[in-house]
Amino acid sequence: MNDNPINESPINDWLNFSSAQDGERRVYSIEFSEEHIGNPLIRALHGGVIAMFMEYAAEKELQSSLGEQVEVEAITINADYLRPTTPNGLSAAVSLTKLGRRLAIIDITAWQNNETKPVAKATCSFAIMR
Amino acid sequence: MSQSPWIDGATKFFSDTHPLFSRLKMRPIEIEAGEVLVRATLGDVFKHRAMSRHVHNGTLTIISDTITGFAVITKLEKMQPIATISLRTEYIAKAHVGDVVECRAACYAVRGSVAFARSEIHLRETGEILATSTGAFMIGTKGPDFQTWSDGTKP
Repeated sequence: MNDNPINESPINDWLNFSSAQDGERRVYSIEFSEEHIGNPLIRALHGGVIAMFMEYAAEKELQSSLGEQVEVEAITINADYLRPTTPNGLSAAVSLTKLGRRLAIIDITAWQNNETKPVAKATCSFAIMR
Repeated sequence: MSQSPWIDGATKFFSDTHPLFSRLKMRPIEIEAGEVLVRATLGDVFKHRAMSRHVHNGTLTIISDTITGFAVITKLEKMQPIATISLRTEYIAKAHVGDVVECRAACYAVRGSVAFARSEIHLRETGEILATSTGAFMIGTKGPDFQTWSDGTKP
């Protein structure tokens, strides 16, 4: 699925971030790294890392919609954690709920092995600087 | 540094043996029951874009989630594992690579098996607020607790 590695920034590399077209939507993914672990005893992914991934996926979706010349900046993220995670990669699908001139609201759902059993969801707001 | 029964365990938990927290050079500064202050340094790996000195905002969410959860742990009379239910973060200002930041968090309520906490991240040098967060945490989830780590158990 990872047909389009994106390597233009250090945070891309740290997250092991990539994206791929899946029918009419784009699916964003990260590969597992030991540095993504929160509690080493249960080896669950860190909630903040999951949130960062969802925010980054939302930013990439928004940027691809607006064009790279338009600057966007996250204002808020509201993340809900739905299931325990395992030490594996994550995938996410993104929905542009509102796209205005100065503001975008984006919903993200993240899963591991089974898309029908999401591990987290988030809503991000972004300021758009045209 | 204030006295707290959790200080030794906390220092160990944020030590260089934790791959993520060592990246952020997290160090507890103050620990009281339900209130903590932790210092972190924002490293190159969290840089948002190659040509910029800004770190990705999600770095602040990683710190917030960690420290608000830690405030919850220090509030509990008995050490128990916890898990984040929900976390909202507001990004007030941009942080830069090399910034030393401090996160002050407080657990302000516990109702049954749910704890509520909030935090604020500011620049150590100027006090400028970078982000604020509020979170809800489930208490008594499955898995080993924080005390197990502080007692020296390795993953």
